[in-house]
Amino acid sequence: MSAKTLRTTARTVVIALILALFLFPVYWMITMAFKPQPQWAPTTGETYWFPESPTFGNFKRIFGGEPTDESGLGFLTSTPIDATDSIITSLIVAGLGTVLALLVGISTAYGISRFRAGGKLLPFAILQLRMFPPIAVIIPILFLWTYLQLNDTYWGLILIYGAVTFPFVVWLMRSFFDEIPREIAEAAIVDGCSNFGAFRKAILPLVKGGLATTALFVFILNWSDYLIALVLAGSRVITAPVFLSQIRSASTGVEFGSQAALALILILPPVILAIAIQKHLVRGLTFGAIKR
Amino acid sequence: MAKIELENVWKRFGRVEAVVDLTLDIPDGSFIALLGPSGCGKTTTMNMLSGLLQPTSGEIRFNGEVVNDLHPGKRNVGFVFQNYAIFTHMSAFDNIAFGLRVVRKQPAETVEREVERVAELLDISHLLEQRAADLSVNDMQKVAIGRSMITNPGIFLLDEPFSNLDAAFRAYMRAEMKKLQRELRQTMIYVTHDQVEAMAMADHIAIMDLGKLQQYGTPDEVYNSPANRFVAHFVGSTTMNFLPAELGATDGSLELRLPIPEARPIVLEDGSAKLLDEKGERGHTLGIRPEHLELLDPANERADARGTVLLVEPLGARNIVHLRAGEIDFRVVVPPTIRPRVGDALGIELERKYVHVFDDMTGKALR
Repeated sequence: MSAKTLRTTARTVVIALILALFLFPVYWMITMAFKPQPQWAPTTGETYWFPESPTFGNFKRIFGGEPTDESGLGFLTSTPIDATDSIITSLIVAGLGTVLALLVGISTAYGISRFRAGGKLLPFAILQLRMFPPIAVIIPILFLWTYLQLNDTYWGLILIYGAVTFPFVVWLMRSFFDEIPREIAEAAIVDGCSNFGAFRKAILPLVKGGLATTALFVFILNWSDYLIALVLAGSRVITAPVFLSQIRSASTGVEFGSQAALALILILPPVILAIAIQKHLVRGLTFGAIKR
Repeated sequence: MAKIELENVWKRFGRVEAVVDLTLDIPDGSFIALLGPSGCGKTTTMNMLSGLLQPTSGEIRFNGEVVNDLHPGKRNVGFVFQNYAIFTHMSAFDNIAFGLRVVRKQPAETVEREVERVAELLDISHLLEQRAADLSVNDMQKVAIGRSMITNPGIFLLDEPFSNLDAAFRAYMRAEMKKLQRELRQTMIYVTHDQVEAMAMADHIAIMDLGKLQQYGTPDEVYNSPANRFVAHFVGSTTMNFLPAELGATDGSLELRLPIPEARPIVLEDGSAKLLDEKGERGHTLGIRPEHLELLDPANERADARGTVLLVEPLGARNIVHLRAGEIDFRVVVPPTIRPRVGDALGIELERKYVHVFDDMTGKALR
């Protein structure tokens, strides 16, 4: 074996090991979702690396199906549950929260990039919103939300999701705007566009790759939030991650199989979105406005 | 078609004075170059003409009408940027059509006809369907020119449009622009830091430095009668020679003594002595272009000074000889047939009628 093939092989092995490490939980979740109850909660202490006799029972369970009692251990004692509402709730609050963050964030980013709005300090003032842990502010926000009667409402979650992801939008989009020469907008203005027209017709099409990436990033953050949804909502408005954490039965405790099934469903929207905007994820495609 | 007047125009950015009290009359249909080093205020002036910037004070008039606050899109100007500012997400056609289609909402047939007309003029008809991002730099700049031409602007502003192009294409585009301007009879203002470009293309050159207009005149005027030392230095492909000189007058003639041992005083007999009257004892500098010096045999009695050759730069069409006389270095432009060797002793003669004299205090040319 030459030194070169050796190096290639070694590299492949290392990459495979790292991938295995990171993908194992995903594998575990996927297989768990299809395991019948005796295999995800074996009383024998046996470990099932692969589901024997795979079943859709866990999926049926989280969408209101009668829990099947394959073990005779008393699943029947738990009440039927349905995750549909929580998934719709999550789609609404995470989606609209993302839209809100994008609307405000993109305008802010363009203002900062093109007009230096807010001077040198504003971008950092916005960034520092992200610098303390959410847990530190979530209780004061709970008081505020209760006072504003936003607690446990759709709007309450949409607003807070928009607010916490807004700094990401500003910082990501600003770097995309910075890469566009100011002459692009100026050319459009001399041709007769207003400032906004130049932004919409000449600038936005150039950053649509960056915009798609930012939107996906922000959506994933909102979609996967647990803490905020748990504290600021959770009785009437229940998001999917909160719902997921509460799947349990009297007899078995936490229902890992059903949780895995719901988790598998919950990773689908980000994955589908990522595939849909794949070509935009490769940043830089659109940044050839100036040939340097 | 438009004539442009700038009257006492100032532009300040905070405490920085980018343009200082600029007054300029640009006749309809003329080709003007705004010439100066970077940071001299020429691009700021351009942006005020296009409307992208508002002057801090003063008036800008197009055809007698004040346009200070008029939106750029309503000024009927075309603007070509140094870095093209092409919309890379569109085809060449869509780029050129932008002003008519997207902004002025013209019907499709009109747009198509106009784009084809412009593309014909610029010889880019075969590129129209290509994505702008895939075009070569040269073609991009043509598309950019096309885009600003499409609305038939009365004023055409070009901000160093060719400085990113390769030398051969630059020369070609220069000639094309000049031709185009003659055909369309538009008022064209051309910003450049390249004096060769300005001299070659423009009817009039406005030379700026530190935000101030230094001189406004024909290429001939700025070359042969520079208003001050800056202009004299900036214009000319081989920089003018500047020598410290002591002024004196003898019977109506001006006498310039150079700090070179055994140099003859330069006597100007054309009434220049009157320059001295008011100027008193200030220091002065003599300026003479390298092409207005003649190399002579050191024994020749016409020689004003004598020196030794330091360096010869053969440029093909001409040679530049660097000569040291006393403490002073001269650059002399000579035909390619004259090629002295380093170390040769040579005489040097200054052509009297091309001698310039500058006041050291103000930099102003006395002659």
